[in-house]
Amino acid sequence: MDERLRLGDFEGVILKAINANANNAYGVTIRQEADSILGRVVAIGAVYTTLDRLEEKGYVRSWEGEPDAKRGGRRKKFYAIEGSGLRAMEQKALEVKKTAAIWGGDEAGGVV
Amino acid sequence: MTELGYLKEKEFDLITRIAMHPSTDGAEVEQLQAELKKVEADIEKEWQLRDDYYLSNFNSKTIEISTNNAAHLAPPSRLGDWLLLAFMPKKDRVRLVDDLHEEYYHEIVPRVGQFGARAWYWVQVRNSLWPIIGGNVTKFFKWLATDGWEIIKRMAGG
Repeated sequence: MDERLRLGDFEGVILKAINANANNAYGVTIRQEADSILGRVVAIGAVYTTLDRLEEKGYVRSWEGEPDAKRGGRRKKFYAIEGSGLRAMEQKALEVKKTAAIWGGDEAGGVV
Repeated sequence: MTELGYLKEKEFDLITRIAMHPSTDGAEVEQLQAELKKVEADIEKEWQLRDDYYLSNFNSKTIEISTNNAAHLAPPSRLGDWLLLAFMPKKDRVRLVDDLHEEYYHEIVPRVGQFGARAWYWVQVRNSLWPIIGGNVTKFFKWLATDGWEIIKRMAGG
């Protein structure tokens, strides 16, 4: 796999967060999901920087939603995973499994 | 303002068509590339318009934000917003501030109150900015601690 296209750990978390909010993935929901996956407060700036990188890699695409009264009439930017993004997630899962095997644990973190 | 979503879709479509085109040159590819350039320029113009629109609201006394009870509130911190708009990458900085405000007013304030929400807001600002400007701040202090201070003193004629 091309090194530039390799999925980083945080990028993987963001892809998972988009996947979990399939029809409503935008900054707020992605950040909140990333919070619950990692169990700590994730900065919105880190989320947007990562989303930008994922878009450059072609793993996600974005579009603008309708004006939202909740946001004073401004629009949300929604994100969806591309096929290549799903493949990158599968690849990442395999890498994690391999790494876990090297260290003598399973992918869930338990020691075999 | 034109539909940015429409322009982005068009850009995506053109990029795909260029990438999938059987030849890398020729009149058809050139035409697609010219079209893509035009769409990219339109997108850039659109972002500029949105930035200007947001900044003009930002400079007015309050940014009106509709809440569930239709009250209008001032932003959590003008300084925090300004820092984010000044230092975050241009592409999504307006959206980022909008997201932060939405979560602040609709979820954090009702859950933890205004004081706690302000603390949350500043943690978000600090954690968003630190990866971008933190390296330079650290470098500056390291430089100041090594020979920077001497250089400044000499320049000041001391």
